[in-house]
Amino acid sequence: MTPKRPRSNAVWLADLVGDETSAETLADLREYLLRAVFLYLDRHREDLADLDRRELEQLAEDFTQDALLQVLGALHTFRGESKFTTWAYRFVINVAAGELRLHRWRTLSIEALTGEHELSRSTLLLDYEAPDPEVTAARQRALDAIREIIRDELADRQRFALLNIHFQDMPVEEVARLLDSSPNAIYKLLHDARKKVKQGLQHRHYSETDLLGIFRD
Amino acid sequence: MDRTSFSKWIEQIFATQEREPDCNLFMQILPQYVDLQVSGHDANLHLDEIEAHLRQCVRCSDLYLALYEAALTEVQDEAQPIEILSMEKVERTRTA
Repeated sequence: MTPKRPRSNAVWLADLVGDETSAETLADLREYLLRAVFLYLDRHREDLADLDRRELEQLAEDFTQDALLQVLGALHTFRGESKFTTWAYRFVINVAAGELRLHRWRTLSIEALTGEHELSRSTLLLDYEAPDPEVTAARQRALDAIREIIRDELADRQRFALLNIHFQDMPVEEVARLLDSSPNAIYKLLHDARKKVKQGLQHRHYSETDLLGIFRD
Repeated sequence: MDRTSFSKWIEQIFATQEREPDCNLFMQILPQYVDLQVSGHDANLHLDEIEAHLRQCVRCSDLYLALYEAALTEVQDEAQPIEILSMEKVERTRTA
């Protein structure tokens, strides 16, 4: 395998930008991305533990190919505030993480795709009953308050995003696709939803300490 | 959702700030933050924004951990003789 030599940001850009991209630099960039995503697949993805080395390498190759195109298309956005390679790694890790999240979600469940969940207490918390009936009653009141806020105070898209992402583990990418939106816009949607839930709870005189105490064993 | 996850959700709700960096802003400042961490320099730059976002976004939290490891491995490899800068070293580490 061709040894790589560390490059400065300026050298990376000079070799990659313009009509005559350096083949050697492109190959080295590909190798950097390949190693970064292989590390990610190998060390951060327990769900891939059954794959052998060849299969992991093949996955890494596929993700690298997609990410390389993204990196080259985004060179003009690199502001030089970090190492070029660190900046580039986020593309390949993003590609891999996004694809794997979607694959895992589609394999596990299609139930949440409709978003037609009945918002019951057990949707929020599976086991809320306590040996002490008064504690159970307090938990029911708190869960009902949360249900009321989610049902009545969130906009439809906020409710859909919050329930599916927080309570059904649906990937942000999938919610974005279903809502014809982007992951970043979904983050903003969720942020607004969280603010409303927080304000709703405070309005009903529930503090974080109160709620954590109510649901502690 | 089980009790532990629900308690974390409550904490997440109450950790919500009026203004939080979104994923796009986080992505912009993350590589610089990671490089500062890996190089042992003061990473307090952007710390509040980074932490506020990491508390709320699982997607970006995963990215941060993976990016940190990739950047750290690169720095460690560059301190080694150049002939081991290859996938073979990754494989040796993996099978060790």
